[in-house]
Amino acid sequence: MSLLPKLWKIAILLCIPAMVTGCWSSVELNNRAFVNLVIVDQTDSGVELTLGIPLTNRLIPGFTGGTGEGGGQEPIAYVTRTGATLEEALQKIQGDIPRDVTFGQTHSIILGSRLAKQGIAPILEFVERNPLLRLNTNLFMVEGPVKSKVARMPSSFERFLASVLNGYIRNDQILSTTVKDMMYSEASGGDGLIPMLSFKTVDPSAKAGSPGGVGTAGAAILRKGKMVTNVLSPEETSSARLVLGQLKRYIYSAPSPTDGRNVGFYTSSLRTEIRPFRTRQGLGVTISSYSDAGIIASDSDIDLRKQQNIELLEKEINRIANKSLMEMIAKTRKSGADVFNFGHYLSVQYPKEWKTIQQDWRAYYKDRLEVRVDSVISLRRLGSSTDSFHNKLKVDEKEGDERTWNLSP
Amino acid sequence: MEPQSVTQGQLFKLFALHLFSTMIAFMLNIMLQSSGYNAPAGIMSGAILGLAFSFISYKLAMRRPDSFFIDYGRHILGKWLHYPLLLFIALSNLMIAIINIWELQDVLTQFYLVGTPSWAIASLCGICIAYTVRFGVKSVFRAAEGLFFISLLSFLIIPVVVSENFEWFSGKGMITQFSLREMWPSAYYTSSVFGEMSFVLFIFPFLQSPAKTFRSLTSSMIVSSVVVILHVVPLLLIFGPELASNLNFPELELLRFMRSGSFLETLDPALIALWLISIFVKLGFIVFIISLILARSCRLKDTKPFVFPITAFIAIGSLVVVKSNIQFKSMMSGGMLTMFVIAELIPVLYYLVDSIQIKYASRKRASSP
Amino acid sequence: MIMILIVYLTIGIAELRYLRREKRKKRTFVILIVSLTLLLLLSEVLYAVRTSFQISVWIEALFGPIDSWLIDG
Repeated sequence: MSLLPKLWKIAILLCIPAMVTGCWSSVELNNRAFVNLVIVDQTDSGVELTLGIPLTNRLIPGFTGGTGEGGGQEPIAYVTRTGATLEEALQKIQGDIPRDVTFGQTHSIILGSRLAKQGIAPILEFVERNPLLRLNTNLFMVEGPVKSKVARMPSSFERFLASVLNGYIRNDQILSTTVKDMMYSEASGGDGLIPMLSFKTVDPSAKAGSPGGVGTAGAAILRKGKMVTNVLSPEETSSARLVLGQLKRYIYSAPSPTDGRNVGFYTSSLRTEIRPFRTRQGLGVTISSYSDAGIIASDSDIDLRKQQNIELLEKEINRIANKSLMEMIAKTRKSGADVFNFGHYLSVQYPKEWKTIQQDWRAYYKDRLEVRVDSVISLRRLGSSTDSFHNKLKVDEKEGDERTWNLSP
Repeated sequence: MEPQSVTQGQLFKLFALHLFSTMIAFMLNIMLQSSGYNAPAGIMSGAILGLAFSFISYKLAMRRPDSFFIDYGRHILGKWLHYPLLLFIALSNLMIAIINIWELQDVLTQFYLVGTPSWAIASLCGICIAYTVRFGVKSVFRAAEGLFFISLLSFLIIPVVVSENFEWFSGKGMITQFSLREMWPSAYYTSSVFGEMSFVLFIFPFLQSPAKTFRSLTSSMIVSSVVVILHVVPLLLIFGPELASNLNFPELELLRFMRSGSFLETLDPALIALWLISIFVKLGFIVFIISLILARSCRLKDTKPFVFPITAFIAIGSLVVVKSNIQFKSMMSGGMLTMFVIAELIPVLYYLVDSIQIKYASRKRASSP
Repeated sequence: MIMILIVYLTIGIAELRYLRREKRKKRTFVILIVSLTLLLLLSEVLYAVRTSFQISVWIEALFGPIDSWLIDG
């Protein structure tokens, strides 16, 4: 009799592990295909979806089949299918891959420009609704047909293109736009800047190990999820990054106010404040950016020991920064796209006025919003030396080479 | 049953755990949808309102701190009113438990245990809860005491790790867009959660130093509302009110928003596990209340025989309560919480009648020599 | 359906054994068996009609008007 309760307990204990819920839906790691990169483009036959999936059996160099090929095979597979909609293409891909497609590790989405012109709203919706895809997935754009460029491109610094992109984002080298940024508010939903990637095809005759073919280049303007014809150049994109507070360690050169020769700077943006204001004519925003700058090189005869010269230089680079900011903003206004979400700042500060202009916000942004720019760049560091080489050693221009340090992005 | 076995500290920890885990795990979506920028203000006011419900419950309990409300209640309102009201309270507690388990299995099957049948999740939760409660009131409170600090830490860590994504200027919207009308829905929903503290009335004989109960309740309210607001404000600052109200599980999206590359970004399952256990402790308390009502109404010596059947019924009920997510949402914003508020306000009725009776009795005693 | 029956039966047997071990009053046994039967019947009925009828419909109908009056009115 005393054995029976014990048997009950043992029986129940044996049943419980059978109900361990993980066993139902567990998918072996080996049975999963982790998607690194999502590439979407529009072709004549529909939406073309490419998933970049690392191949675990090729990741260990030299073990690819034991034949000592020396890493000739790519460790990543790009699986492409085309369907009438994104979901159809996805279904076709899943049907052809022997593993379970998993989006949990996806950090980047590359869009083709043709798809962007038609509208990226289906992609944004897909990311938002999918529980595994995060809202801080970064968006990138490529001009022209994407798949061929990506598939052909070898990358030397990182194994996978996705790692390259993650590196860009991590090191603040590229404009970072996430899905959340595009969907932040209804009034300017779908407006944003998406960084463009440039792919340079590697010369087949070049030596092995030459630098990879992907680079950063400008940004596309999106209005209501559709790409407009205006595109931001790389310089304008850096102004955009300044507004967003993403500009770290940016190198450029400016002519010295004394003799017009170039002085090279690097800037690090500390913070950018966007503050709305109200005048009798209407509403406006002030963009105040605070940055630190340092001198990389100077080809000018400006005496950097005098404080007033430093201030002259500061004034000059402030003027240049303000000018490029205004030009960039004018370009976005011409397209009627509120890419920096000024509307949100207005709605927070002046909710009553915002309600009246909310409906036609983009038109208001295009024509009536007043934008003031105020950059404060403090020149703090001169590098390790004070006088320029040019000054110090009085290099005569007639002899020797005229070397100008021109460090444009 | 063991009288005087629950310390005030344990009571504080149980209620704090109960309140902030329920609010953060289940209620944030409704708050943001109905109130947007006014959600933090609504939560603060709702918490105070819920505390007010519990205050009256406390005053009623303090009149007879050593006897069970279930027993003396019938002297106040008469047994034809008392037992149906008790049944109503038991039923609404049952519904609280059922919808909590439904929501748990909804989150788990959507995100983490895709493909697992709901009955497996419901039954496992049921077994955990039933075992905790079966060992008596002490075990529930001990569990709360042990879990409290870890759970609190796990809830507090999230605003810290996502803080780099805040857009501080959006916070101004909480002041400029302040509107009482917008704030009221979330205040009402919050009061239905915080008002669950009024069920302390049922366990009064188990408490040590009962007079200090209200202090513990107030501390629970303060700690929980601070923790909840520390979650709602980051949601508003990162996602903004329009996007956040569209998300079904904003707190999960918040967890995943940590910057790519750090191991924390896939930490959400570990945090979910901690949250789950906190919900179990809460449901343990609720199941105990229900079994206490049933047991004492039938004049039984202890609650043990009822625990497993009730938990089984809750688990099965959670499978049949709604057909789909959409029906659940419409039920939550269409009357469910009102049912809870009514249940929490029933002690108020008793208090009023009791006060009148006492006044009447003292007047009668004063008038007769 | 059968699983629910098995679950309740298991609980019933376990609890009855516990009561017998503690030598409780006969009244307790009766209450336990009655309540178990009630819950079992209720569970089976609710489970059987789960696609056509949900409890939430009643709750919404009962408390919905109060709720909307409080929130919107």
